[in-house]
Amino acid sequence: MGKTLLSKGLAVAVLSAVLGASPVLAADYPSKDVRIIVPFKPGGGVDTTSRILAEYGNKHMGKKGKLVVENRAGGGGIVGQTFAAKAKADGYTVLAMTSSVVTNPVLKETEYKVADFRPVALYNMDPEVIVVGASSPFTAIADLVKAAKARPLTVTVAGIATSHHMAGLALEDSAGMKFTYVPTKGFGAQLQAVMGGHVEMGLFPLGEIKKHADAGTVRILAVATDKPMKILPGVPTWQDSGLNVKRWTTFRGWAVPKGTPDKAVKFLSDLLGKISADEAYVKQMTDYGFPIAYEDAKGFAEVVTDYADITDKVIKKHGLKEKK
Amino acid sequence: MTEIALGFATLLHPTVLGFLLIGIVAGLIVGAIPGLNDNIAFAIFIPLSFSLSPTYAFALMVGLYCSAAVGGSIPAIMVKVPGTASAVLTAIDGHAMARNGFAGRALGIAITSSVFGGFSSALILLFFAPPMAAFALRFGYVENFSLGILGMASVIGLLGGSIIKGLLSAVLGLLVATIGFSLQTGYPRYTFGIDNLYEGVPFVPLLVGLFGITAVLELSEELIRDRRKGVASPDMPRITDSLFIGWPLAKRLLPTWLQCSLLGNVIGVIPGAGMLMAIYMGYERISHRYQRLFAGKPGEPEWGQGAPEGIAAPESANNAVVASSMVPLLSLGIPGNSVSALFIGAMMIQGMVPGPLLFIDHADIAWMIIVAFLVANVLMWPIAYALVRTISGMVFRLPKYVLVPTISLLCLTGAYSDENSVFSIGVAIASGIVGYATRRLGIPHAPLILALVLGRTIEDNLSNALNIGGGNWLIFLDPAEHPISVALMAGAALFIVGPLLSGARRRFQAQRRAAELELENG
Amino acid sequence: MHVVGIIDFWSGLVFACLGAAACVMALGFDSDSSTYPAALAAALMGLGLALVVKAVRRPAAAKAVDAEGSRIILWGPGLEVGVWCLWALTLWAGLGYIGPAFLAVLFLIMRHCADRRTRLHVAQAAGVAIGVFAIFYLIFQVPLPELEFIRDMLE
Repeated sequence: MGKTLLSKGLAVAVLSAVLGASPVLAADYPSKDVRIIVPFKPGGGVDTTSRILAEYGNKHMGKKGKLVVENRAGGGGIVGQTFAAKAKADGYTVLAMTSSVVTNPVLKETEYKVADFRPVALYNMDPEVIVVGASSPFTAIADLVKAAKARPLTVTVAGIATSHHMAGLALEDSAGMKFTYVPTKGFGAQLQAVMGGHVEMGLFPLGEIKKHADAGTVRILAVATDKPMKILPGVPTWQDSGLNVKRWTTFRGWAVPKGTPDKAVKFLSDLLGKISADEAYVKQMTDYGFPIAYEDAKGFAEVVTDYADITDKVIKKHGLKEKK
Repeated sequence: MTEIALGFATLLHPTVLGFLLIGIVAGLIVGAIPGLNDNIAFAIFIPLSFSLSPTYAFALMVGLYCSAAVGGSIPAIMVKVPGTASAVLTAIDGHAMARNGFAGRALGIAITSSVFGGFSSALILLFFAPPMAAFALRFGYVENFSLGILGMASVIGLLGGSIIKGLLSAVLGLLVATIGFSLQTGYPRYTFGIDNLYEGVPFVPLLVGLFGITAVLELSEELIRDRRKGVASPDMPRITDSLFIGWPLAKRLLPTWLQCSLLGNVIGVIPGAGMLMAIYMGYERISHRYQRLFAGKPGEPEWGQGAPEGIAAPESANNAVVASSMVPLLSLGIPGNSVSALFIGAMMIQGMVPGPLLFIDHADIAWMIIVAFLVANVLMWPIAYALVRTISGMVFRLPKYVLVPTISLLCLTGAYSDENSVFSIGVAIASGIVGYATRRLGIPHAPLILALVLGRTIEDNLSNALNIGGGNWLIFLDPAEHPISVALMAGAALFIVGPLLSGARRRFQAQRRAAELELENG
Repeated sequence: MHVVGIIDFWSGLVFACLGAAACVMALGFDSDSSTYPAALAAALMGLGLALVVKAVRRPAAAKAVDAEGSRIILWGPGLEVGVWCLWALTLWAGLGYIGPAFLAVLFLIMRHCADRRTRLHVAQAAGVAIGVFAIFYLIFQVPLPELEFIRDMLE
């Protein structure tokens, strides 16, 4: 028993020396590190944007605490999302919230509901784009639509019942196109299939494909936003191309567990606002192809509801809910 | 040529070179610690790379990537615990050679073979990246399925004793690989409602368990056996001989190096194939060569008992995958494996994106990365030679009874750090038990591991290929549309028929010898 | 020798049962994703049975179970696995990293080492636990459960 106490004492000594940990009071938020839970492995889009945010955010965080990114991968995001939902609602655990937080509880048996989170702010909207390889015979969206009405086109999506698969289903419903879905794990493998001509088209989030389009190895034929995008000159929207899908965007933002104090939510929401106004940050994100879109807690909540509405329709119509 | 000069000019800055050196040393150490690998090290380094200039960050990453596989061979040889997954085969002949008193030579072979393989792939990256990238791009669903079949076929030659047990091992691996959601429908198979299994059994903990924990359990068995017998457990082998392998041995190993480096380079450029496939295929090929040329000759050990080729084959193959896995990443922006996928994250943090644009927007950095692979392999040779004694002395001179729990703790903590979850520790322990039990039962590991690596590739690409091809099974053998697939399938057929033929030939020769003997005596 | 004493007989039986169970489960999956695992599971069952049949037909060729060997497995690898399973449970229960790791390593060292030098062993175990913790937590910044445990204790 003495040994346990000794080692625990030692552990406390080591840690408090390292962390400078001190008792936490709610009054002076943030008084210690705020961890951003990324429910994916390091290196992907969510992880990297979260780390970029942390880097710029720490300029405004003061001395007592920093933003720290923590990866809790597994289960297609569910493990980390559940972890964040169950965390203490003290404002020191933030989830890097993506669209899958909305669809996972609908599609699968998860231990959390969307309502378990309180949206903080949104920092990026990633519209869906229709992509073909550089050597594809389709040069304009009209050619592709015509072909897809005549026979099913092979289309690579990141997985069945992902937002990208649902975008394809929405196109089938409202534009009369026909697709054969080729689920492919990972954007890299999808890119390989499109570039190598192993499939006829791909559905991608813009951030993952923008730079490759710039390099000329793939072509973006249409983008699912309300208005044509400035960073995509000459690319029509889905709506203008007669596809009857007004917009299809996945989002990235921050959320905290339900019951987090208002003060903390306001602080974090303002923090994202400050970061989004930082020119260096804007340049780094847009350079990569992540369009900046800041919404505060209220605006973010609307985006979440909007996304839930459009996906719900597709999920119900096509029976995507996991059968048990 | 001017681009290459630009790369050198960027790299030869003293601080950049310093970071490359730090990377090489760090890679050797990270690789040498069981439970840690380049994947984990990168994941941790990427966030730290914000404050570094991109030249420093990439120099360090390249150095680390090149030398991690070499580091992994140190514990494999000294204590039979592979430091990284890529050293699992090195542990067999390497440790046997070390126990025979030639630890230095084993390490020397591992280092030299690694440098050879690594250097060859750096040359491919430097001079042949565009055609190799075009080749990689031709791998679609059909080709990837055939590649998976080729990988599985290469196992036939490694089965050894019982065919039933070999097949059992392969089927078990394929079945475990189906755990997780089905790509075709998203249905969660064999997950028992556990979220952590939804994406399949977490791979890093699985390998840590199969390689690290299995090895620890064997060591622990050895310790208890000696204790119960009342004898002192023999110490781990030490380096008592020279690390330098000498010219005659180098000349003898040259064909092995060439063959395995070629194989590693080809497999390296194909996205998704990976190091484990390269080492098993190389090991299988070279085992036949060894049986034909050396086995049974005086002074030559049996295959698996300390054959120099048994170290040279996997070590040159695994390092040949390193730089070549960067070919699709740098030329096309497609990550070839999990480590090069982490390069994307690091580049993104620096505001860059891999692919053709990198060579336009940041030509200096793009060419520096390429040149750095070449220089890292050149520098790695003397550095590894200089440090290998220190590293193996520092860690592995602990008494065996301390070493065993230390390696366990390292492996399990490493497993935890993959997804920061206790579930991963459970996976590592469970796969350690499976690895140990199957070994006790005489079930070979090679089919199991290759099946685990390739199982998903085979199933997913098969269903996608059939889906696109309208259910036509003959697409895999269509010479007009998929010539690569036809070649791969032919290779697979050779892998299956080859060992059968050579077995038949051996039996025939034995019969003839017996008949001749009878004639002489009669 | 009697069949019951042969390792292959038992391991074959285990694989056959495993295959049968996996096969039954696979038949419950949706039709598109059940054929492949069901076929594999059936193959596993068949190969397990083949192993059993071989052991029964040629018992002399197979390895037998021996008492000393089983005892070694139980007290060596068996104990090692048991200790680390317990350790994983303490981690899961949020009891921190270093303390339980120290105890686990100490126990295994005492168990493995023939002569008893308690003070040396305590020092060794403490060194290992703190050393590994330092590598992962301080250098690699892995969020080990220690963090929350300490935080909770301090609050």
